[in-house]
Amino acid sequence: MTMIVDSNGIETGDFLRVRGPLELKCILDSTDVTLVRKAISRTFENLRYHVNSESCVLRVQDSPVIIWPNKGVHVTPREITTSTMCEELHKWIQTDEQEMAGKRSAKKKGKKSSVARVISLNLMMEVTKPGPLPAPILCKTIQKSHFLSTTLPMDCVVNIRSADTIKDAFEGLLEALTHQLHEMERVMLCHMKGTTLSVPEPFHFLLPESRGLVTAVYPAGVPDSQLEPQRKELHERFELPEDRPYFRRANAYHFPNELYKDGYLRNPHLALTHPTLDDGKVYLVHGLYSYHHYMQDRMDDNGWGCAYRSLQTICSWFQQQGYVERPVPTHKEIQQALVDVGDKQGSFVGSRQWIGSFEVHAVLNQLLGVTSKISFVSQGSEMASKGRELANHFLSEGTPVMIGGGVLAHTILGVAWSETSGQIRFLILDPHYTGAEDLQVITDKGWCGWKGPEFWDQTAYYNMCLPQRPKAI
Amino acid sequence: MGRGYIVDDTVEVYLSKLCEQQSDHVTGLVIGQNSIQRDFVVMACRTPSREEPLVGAGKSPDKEWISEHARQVSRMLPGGLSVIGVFVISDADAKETLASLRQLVFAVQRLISSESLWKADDNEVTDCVTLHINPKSRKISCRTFDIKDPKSLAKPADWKYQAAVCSSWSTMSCCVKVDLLVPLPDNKACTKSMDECLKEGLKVWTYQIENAVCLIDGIQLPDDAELTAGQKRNVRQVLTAQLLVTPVRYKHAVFTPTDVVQRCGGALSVRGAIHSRAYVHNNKPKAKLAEKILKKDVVSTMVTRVQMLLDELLAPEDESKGVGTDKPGTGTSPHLWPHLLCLIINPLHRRTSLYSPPPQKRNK
Repeated sequence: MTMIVDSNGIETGDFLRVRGPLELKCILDSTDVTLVRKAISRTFENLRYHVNSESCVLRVQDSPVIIWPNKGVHVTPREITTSTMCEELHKWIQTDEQEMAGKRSAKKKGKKSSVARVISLNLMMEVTKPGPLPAPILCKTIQKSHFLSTTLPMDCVVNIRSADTIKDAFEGLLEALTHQLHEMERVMLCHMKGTTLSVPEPFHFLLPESRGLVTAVYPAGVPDSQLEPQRKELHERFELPEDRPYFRRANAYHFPNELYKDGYLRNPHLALTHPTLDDGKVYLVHGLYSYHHYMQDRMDDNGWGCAYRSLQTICSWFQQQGYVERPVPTHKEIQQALVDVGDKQGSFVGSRQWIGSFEVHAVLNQLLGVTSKISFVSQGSEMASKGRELANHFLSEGTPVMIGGGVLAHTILGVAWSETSGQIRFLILDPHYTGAEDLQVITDKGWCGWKGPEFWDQTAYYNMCLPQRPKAI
Repeated sequence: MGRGYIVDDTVEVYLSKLCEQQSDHVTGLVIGQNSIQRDFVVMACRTPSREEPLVGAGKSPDKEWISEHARQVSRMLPGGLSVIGVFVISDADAKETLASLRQLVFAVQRLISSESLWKADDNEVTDCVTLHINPKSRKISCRTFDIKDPKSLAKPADWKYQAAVCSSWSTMSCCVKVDLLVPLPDNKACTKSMDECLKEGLKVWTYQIENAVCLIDGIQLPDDAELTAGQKRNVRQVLTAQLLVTPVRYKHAVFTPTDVVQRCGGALSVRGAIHSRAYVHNNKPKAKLAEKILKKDVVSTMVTRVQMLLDELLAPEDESKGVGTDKPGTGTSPHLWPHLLCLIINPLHRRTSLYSPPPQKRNK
């Protein structure tokens, strides 16, 4: 019941996610590498001790529920016991969860239960103890040394199954916390240069085919480009193809209770019902993209910017799949790139001139280093015969396709195609939408929707730009 | 409407005695607990006289001396009680003494708050009481000043005696484990003193305590829940508090995340436990108030304790430099502490004189 289909079409259960900073503080008496490593390891050992002590407290956000996992899993309020089903915690959470989940699929009641629920917890420490304890003493050490002080951004997730009790779940969570501290220690020591240290940061990644979440710890400040050996190891360990990224920071799983701060809608097509064709199959864009359309970013491009927006949607895909770190280019940056490659005159920058599939191809190459195939039809009616080509594109590349030409530009996100009957439907994302980011309107009014072959201007010519996925991890 | 002070009748007895002694111009402190609804006074205590009276001071109160007395008394008070005002017994007309009482109450609060790391929130009462008593007519003139507002004018307030005001106040107690590690500057780079370093460390610590989740008898009560709901009003309740903290990074912390490792010239560590006990009035107190009173006491106990420890640590240095003359009010001499510490006062359980030993005995 609590399973969801996430953005990749993968089912996951509920999550129990604990986050909270832990202070890592110690004096490094010496700059001798072995001694520094020892001091750091000792400090981590001490943190693990604290996390496994009675002081460790987990607090369920927006609820009065507090759990001491090491006091025989002691819980307050009393109505909850260690054998309570973990799912029942939801009853205690007074939130706008409905609001959060509902923002996108508000009135569609059926949708609500399909959103994976996340029980968020804060990692805290109880500083009070049953007394009496000795009064404090002050110690002063005068010695030239180094002071290590940072906070570790702990972030652990466990999947809860419907049969899990509070006890099961929190024991699992505690194990995860301990393990994460080990990982952080390893990463910190591994990336230590002299006395320069990086803060270890955890990231969660969803493995394809319902294989659950994996957490990787990366050193802050070290770019993805320098972490390829680590990713390679992860790809090998989880037997993942070595031609596409799964573990770059941009691939990190976005939990359903987190809103995207940039305001763009992600994968609006997931709210649609796919067409059923006899003997047909649905081929879709892989991964995540954001919906770019007219009038966004305080840019009035109504009437001329549709291809720019389609290009932005494609760029957002490359960024969110982790291929590029570059943010989605603005209209001006797109125009400048075309001037830089010699495709346009300098006066083009700042103008309101249209661009087409060839320009999209050139900009992708110039700004993202991505090559594209161009596919041509001299009449819209021929689009009906592009089933196999598009199906193959979504199978092997999975990138959004820009289509333009004699008339308006659109983005193709998928195709439903029957090899036997030749029947075809196109999943279209329309950049001409000028309204607010309202999923309901966008899907109801067909700004994102499945279209038949009659959608294309039967007499106009079309060019498709099919971006190719670089081979990289 | 002005504030209303509910005053324990032992205070009346005490003040009457002072009036009978006929010594003109007696000043002292008013001790109690403020709450939004009503204020409670549980004790008054006279300022000890200086051994060598100030020359030419005349009849105006000795602000510096009284403030220092207030500061030392504040340090010793159990949680929930604080110096909430001053009194003067004087033949002079109440109106005439008002200006000097105003100055006095501001001076007292300024010195007390200068030591405190506690940040007053909007709900905190910032009115302080001044009391003028004519020793002959026994006429009482009670006025309050908002000490957060330097321009505040005197407001009349109600001063009413009642028996056994605090006999059934609840007590909340806890024992907080402390483990503080503060780096000392590498001398070349920085000239910050140990005192400043420790203060910065304490600020971070205080911030954590202020933002801690507080459980009362194991339960997190809603802010506006009544602390003693369902209990008999005249039964003294003994509650245990628990504090849960998140090690949040204080916004003015010394280090930013990019500077994980810093050079330092050493470190100070404070380890042990702070015992805190706070008293909460019994007039339908809210859980939020109880929590605030307890946290405030935890913080002030810690600050006072650390100051004492630091004074002790610095003592030999000071002496060799010849610091620590007979100027009162520096409060940094450790010799003072044994005297003060032997005075375990608790006005709620036991009436003990607050005005011994006089501060200047510390150098003997």
